Amino acid sequence: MKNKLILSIVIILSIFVFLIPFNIYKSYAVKSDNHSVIESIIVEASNISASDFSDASQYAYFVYKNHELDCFDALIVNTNATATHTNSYFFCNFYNSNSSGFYHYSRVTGNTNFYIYRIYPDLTYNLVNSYSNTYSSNAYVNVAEILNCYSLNITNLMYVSDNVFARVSRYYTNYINNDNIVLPYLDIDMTDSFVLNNLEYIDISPSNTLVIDESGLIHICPITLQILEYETGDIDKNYTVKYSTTLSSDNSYWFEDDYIYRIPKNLLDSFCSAGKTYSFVFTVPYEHTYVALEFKCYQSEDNTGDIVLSLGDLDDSGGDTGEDVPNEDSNQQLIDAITQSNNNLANTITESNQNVVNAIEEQNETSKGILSTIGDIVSFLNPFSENFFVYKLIELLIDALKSLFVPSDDFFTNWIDDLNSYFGECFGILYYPFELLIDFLNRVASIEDSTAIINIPEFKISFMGHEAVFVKPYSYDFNSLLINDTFKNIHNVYLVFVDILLWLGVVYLASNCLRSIIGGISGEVIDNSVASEKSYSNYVQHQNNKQRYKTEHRK
Amino acid sequence: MIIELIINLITVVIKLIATPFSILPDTPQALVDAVNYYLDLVFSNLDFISFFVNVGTIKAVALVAIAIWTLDKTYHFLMWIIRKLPISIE
Repeated sequence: MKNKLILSIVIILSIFVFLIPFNIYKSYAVKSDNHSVIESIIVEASNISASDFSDASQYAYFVYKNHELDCFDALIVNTNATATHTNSYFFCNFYNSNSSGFYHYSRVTGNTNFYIYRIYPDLTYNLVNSYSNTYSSNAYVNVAEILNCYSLNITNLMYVSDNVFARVSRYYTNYINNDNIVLPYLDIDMTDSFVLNNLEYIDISPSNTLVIDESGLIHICPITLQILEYETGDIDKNYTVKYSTTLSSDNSYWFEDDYIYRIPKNLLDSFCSAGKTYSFVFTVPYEHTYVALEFKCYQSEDNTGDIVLSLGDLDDSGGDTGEDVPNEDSNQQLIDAITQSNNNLANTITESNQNVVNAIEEQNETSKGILSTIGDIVSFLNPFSENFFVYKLIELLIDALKSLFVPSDDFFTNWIDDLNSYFGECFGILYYPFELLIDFLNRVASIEDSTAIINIPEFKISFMGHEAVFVKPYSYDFNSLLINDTFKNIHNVYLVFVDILLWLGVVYLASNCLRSIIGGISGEVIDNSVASEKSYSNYVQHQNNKQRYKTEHRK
Repeated sequence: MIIELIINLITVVIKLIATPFSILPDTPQALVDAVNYYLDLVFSNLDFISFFVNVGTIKAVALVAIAIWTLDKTYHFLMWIIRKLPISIE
């Protein structure tokens, strides 16, 4: 029966364990659609001021974070001349181990200072080169040549303008042609420039408020935010614009102090519904690129009716292009989810096994308790058992009688001590002899045979300032005599002999006492009532005396 | 419990009787100190008896002797109690 029970539990547990992976995988398959797809946002212009290097350093930090470069060079142009062309073109080149250098091709007029700074990720910088020209009247200056910073294999050039609305969308690349640097300019779609993965600047706070942090951006041009709702859940398919706003300093959600946008959750809840897939699309006015945050709304687990926006792992950067990132993110998320599910499964199995073991142990303990109880009951009813209830009843009665008539162990001791102290206080000097006797007996009882030392105290008399010592203090140990082995053996024999004498004396005392009780004392007239307590001879003698007494009186 | 109750009652009676004697003066402390000094002097040197006789033997013999000496009285006392019990062998 017990084996069948255990077998059934094992089978049920096995089925449960077999089904758990499917349940977890199924639930994960639903949630796996919630992963975010981070696209890219293109920032093709910056408001780096010609004389404000801090913006350049900010820009450097911006570039570094998104391209993980070792460092890069930046050109700062400071001109105080009357420029026929108001635009100052800053060309920044990404600087890494494979490419280096800086090129600038612009036309400036008047006195212009050119500085090349090498900027490092920690925003430290050092001046690499500088140049001042006095060219005028539409002079084209090959700054790269002037600054002697020829470099090869430059793959990317970034165009930065101090006028974000100039929108001169040109990128320059360079190549070597017969040892001369050729800097043709190309009209390049800004979407082909470096990609800013904006994931770091978009977050959903714990309160589900959408926060767009632009503090790390140098670009503060108006950005349009659109929230798209997809019909099928697949991005870039049919969608409906649910919400659109312009993120600018005029926006009510713009917090200038923090350089962030805060879009409250209640606004999102007003048009987001559970089960739908949404994406945030940030559109730069001059380009048609965006960063899309795809998320899926689902009902919160606590059934409060709140919409929970799931953006996945926000710390998972999307990389440079963002093309392969979603799949990588998805795969990584899938691996993480499977790992998590495996851990959960292992924990669940362990917990289940522990619960089963605990249940079996508890059942065993219960069974043992029931069996032992039944055994006790049977033993109480069995006349041949020592636990037979009659025996127990008799034992209880004996204990009751004993407790009724026999005082406790320390009762008499406490009683005597109590009486002794009471009499001592009450009778005073009359009771002192008894106290003295008790003290004497206690002292006698405390004598031990460990030592045999006699101490004679000093005896002296003081009179009128003079002292007379009659007996000096003296101490003598009798055991010092036992150093001699012969004498020690004799002493031991002597002690044995004394013990024998003492016990013989006790025996003699006992015999006399017994004769006085049982045999009586010679010459004593014994009454009939106590005749039975006398020896037979004395009884016969008593009868003879009695008969003789009667005979004499008859005569 | 019964014995304890009886003894406690007797104790209460004895204390009630002895209460009027509480006006008696205490033992003079000088006498107590003198006697104690004497006893301390004696018993602090009494250990040398163990050289002549086993103290343990003396204690045992003394207890047995006391028991024997009081056996007659103890016997009569016990018999007196037994006769008072309301039981009979007939």
